[in-house]
Amino acid sequence: MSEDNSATIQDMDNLFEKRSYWRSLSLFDWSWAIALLAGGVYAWQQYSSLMDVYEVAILFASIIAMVAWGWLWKPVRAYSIAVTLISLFAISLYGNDLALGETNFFLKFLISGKSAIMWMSALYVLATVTYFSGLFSGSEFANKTASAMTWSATVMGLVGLLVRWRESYLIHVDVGHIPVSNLYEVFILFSIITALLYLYYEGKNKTYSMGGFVLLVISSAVAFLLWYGFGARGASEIQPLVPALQSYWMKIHVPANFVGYGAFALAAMLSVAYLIKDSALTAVSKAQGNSENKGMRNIIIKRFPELEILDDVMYKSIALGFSFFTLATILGAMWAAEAWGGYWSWDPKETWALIVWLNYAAWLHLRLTKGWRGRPLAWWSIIGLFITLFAFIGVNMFLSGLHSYGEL
Amino acid sequence: MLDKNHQEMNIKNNHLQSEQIERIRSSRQEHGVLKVLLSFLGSMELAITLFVMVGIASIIGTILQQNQAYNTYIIKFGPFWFEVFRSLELYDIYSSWWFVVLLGFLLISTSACIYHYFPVVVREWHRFRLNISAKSLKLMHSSGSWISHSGVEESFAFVQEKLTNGGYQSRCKTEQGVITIAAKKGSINRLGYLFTHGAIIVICLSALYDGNFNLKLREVAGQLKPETRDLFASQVPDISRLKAGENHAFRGNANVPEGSTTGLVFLQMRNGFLVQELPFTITLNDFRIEHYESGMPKSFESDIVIQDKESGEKISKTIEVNHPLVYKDFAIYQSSFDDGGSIMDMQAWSLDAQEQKIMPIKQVVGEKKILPTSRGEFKLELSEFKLFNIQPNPKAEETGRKFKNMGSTLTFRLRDSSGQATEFINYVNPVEQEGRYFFLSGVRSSVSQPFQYLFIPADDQMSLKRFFSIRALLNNEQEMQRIAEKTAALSLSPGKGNSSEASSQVAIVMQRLADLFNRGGFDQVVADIEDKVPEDKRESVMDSYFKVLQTILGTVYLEVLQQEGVDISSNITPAQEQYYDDMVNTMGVLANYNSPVYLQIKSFEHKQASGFQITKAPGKDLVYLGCILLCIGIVLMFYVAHKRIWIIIEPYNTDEDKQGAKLLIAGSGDRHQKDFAKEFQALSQLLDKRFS
Repeated sequence: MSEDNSATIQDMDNLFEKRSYWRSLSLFDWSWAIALLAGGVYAWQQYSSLMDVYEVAILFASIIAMVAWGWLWKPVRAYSIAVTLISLFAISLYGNDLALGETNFFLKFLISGKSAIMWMSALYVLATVTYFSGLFSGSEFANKTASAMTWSATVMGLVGLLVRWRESYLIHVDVGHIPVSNLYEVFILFSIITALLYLYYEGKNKTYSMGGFVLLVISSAVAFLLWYGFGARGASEIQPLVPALQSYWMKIHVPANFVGYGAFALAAMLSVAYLIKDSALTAVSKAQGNSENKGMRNIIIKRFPELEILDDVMYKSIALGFSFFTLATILGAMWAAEAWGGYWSWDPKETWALIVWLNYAAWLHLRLTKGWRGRPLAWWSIIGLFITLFAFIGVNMFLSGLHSYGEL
Repeated sequence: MLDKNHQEMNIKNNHLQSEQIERIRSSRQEHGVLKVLLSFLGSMELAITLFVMVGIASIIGTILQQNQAYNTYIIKFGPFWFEVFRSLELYDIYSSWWFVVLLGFLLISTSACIYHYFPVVVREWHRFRLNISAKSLKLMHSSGSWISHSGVEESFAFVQEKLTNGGYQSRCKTEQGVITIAAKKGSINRLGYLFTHGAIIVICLSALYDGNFNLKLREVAGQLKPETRDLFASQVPDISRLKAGENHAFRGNANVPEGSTTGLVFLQMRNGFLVQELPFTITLNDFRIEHYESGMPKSFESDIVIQDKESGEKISKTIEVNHPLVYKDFAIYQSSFDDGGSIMDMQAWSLDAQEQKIMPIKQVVGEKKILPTSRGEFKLELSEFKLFNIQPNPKAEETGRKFKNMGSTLTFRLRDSSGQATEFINYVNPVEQEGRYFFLSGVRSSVSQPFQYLFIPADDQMSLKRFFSIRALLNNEQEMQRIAEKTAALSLSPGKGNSSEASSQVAIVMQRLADLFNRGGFDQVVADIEDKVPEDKRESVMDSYFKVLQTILGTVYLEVLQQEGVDISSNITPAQEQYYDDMVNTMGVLANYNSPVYLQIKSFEHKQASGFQITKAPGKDLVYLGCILLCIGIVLMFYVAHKRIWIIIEPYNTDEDKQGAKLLIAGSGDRHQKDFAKEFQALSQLLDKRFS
């Protein structure tokens, strides 16, 4: 804790000293930006014939976003470098022959699109167990291992998606598309984004005790994607895109949406932790010396983060989710205006997006204007997750409409 | 505990805010009812209630499928509930009166909220709150005091510089040697509030403007009436028509066959429609579908020409999904496709005729025509023609192709005089199965069932002629009698002393068996045996019956081959033998085909229609403007913190230090108290370093 505080204060020092932000950037920061830019220019030169003007814009906007992200949250640089190197290795192994995925050792067992996802799945589940064991045993080693596992899983997940992207082009250039087009693919995206959001707060608040809870929701996503992707549905096979999805909008609409879903999921899991700790605290203050369940309560009270931190991260997570969800819904409306002939059609998916939006808008109003805190909002954000889940999967399962890609 | 403090703090803040609002409100001289009404409309309670109500209404709209045919609802809910739901406008919830009223209230509530808050924002924008007392500073969340040895002026310069570095704007005043600095940053955060709430109003109003609200008003006024009958556009009466310039916003559909032109779109309204005239015409020159290898559609494209009705100006463009054509205020989208009246050249083979004859039929897909048959009059309804049928390839491993095109199909219904319909799907070309070719026809009596397929073997000429010749022969009693007698005579060689009486006995049995088979296949023969023969003798009887049946069927087959002019004097070929087996198998199940005829498609002229959606949404740009406002507003609200710092510097003279100063510093971070605490800590650290 003390280390963290001094570090932030050091950062904050800059705020009242006359030093430009640009000067505070290190050599690594600048190399990061230059490397990304170089990569972007290379991609543009190589593939500009396949991209329309919007896609070029998206490419460079994402380069800028990546630069900013790396400057804002330093660990993301090491993460991106690892993902880049492994993905490039896999792509170079493939060459132009998709069949190598079945014969080449590295591809078959480690880093083909499907294998990488398998590794991701295994690592997330292991990390969940390890986080919980760290929480109950109090072992710092277990916590750090769990964190490393989560990072590795997240690396493998993104590698899996990137390699899958390439694989789709190896099937046929017409089939090639960004892998965010069916439920299997977006569940991977959901897992990665939720994990990254969690890792950000883990680093910022220097607490590992939330890991198990957040990873629980990721493990559920993993269970679903294994069933959906490799079970009877076989959705892990790459399918070409229906005409409605062939648009640059997909590249921004879907990821923006999943930042929203991921953040809402994170907030809900933190709420669970909040409620557990709050109940433990209440029970202790009521019991006063009654020794029933004392050990468990002590662990909870001692190891769970401060209620204030939980409450704060919950709010920040919902604020972030709400921002991205709003953006995603707007992008969706603009896409709909181009593909379906109207920016709003009261299609079930659209309508449920509105319901989710209203739900969190109400949540934020109560917190910001009415000054609500703590338990009621924690409960609300858990209910919010179920509403979000329905918008995300339930609509595809139970309702039909324009948005029926990835049916169950 | 911390949490409690937090809450108290916030309540205090909140209290402060509402106090301000109260002050401003009273300054506006609002009285009595209006005041109560405004504060009710602008209240958070109302806003949250409206959120929940809009949410629930939306959920109902997603669970209850909207804008279906009214019949579907009657079947689903029964006449009573159908009427209840209809009167609540649940079938088109999102343009129902009460939903629009709900949205209207949300608009009023948001507006009232802005009305209350706007003056606060404006006032706060310029206000630095210099008149703050030392006492209230000490009560703030973050506060501290420092003693400086360097005097009031110098300390002032120091903190002033630090505040500027920190991005704070400040104002100061000096009163009796005491300097008060009031600094703030992130005031723009307050604009976030206005932007987001303003955006909601802009978006809702523009969307309402783009909706069909005005049409509903005109309907109530009796100026419009949606047409509910199934009419051609030209037959629709004037009360259901809208002139080109009459409607400022709409969203309609038009189906245009290849080579045709339209100047109208249909606007759906509950269970009816309105005809909307366009100021231009759309001509479809060509429609193309491309497929992936798996048969999944890859792209839909329409080559269209639009011509302005007034200026005559022409524009040609290819539109596809995700790439609409924007013309003036209109946008034309590729939304669906359909058959545009493909012409089917067919022939009907009778299953009942005693002499094989073919009836030619020419009919357009979508048409219904009377078809006279041996079993009375039927109505033939051609429902769908498909140019391709891509299915998983059973020989994927040998050929390396995962999918196979099975060719074109025609789906049609035969409806008898009582209105009962049977659905069929016929393949245009014979389909290969294990080296042989078959005409495939699927049949089902209800849509919920899967098709049951009939495989009719194709003869040497790849035609159905041989099969239906055999069928006709089997139907022909006289011919069958002749053949039976001939066969019986041949099989009972006269040399063995068989009488002609025995021979005719056998012939009768033969003919009866052939007839049974013709009417119901082998099953019928078996049923007959089970009916008439005692159980212990059945097996032997069955054996001999089948031999007899095979003999006569074989003779019939040979007879037909002979008629065709096939040389059968030497042994028949394996292919001919195979044909016989296939023919017997199919003939045996023909009774289940449930149709008096087999429809063969000889040739077709494929004609497609493209489904366009044509919209006019003048509010769209405003909606987008609202969206941009909303995004900016959200960023300002969540990510720009409104922070204030106050510093009071007063001379502080101790015995040894006559030039000292005392600094009282405090601040607040509004909704970002935690972040501000860190910032304040950073400032404190600098002050500690300087003044300690």
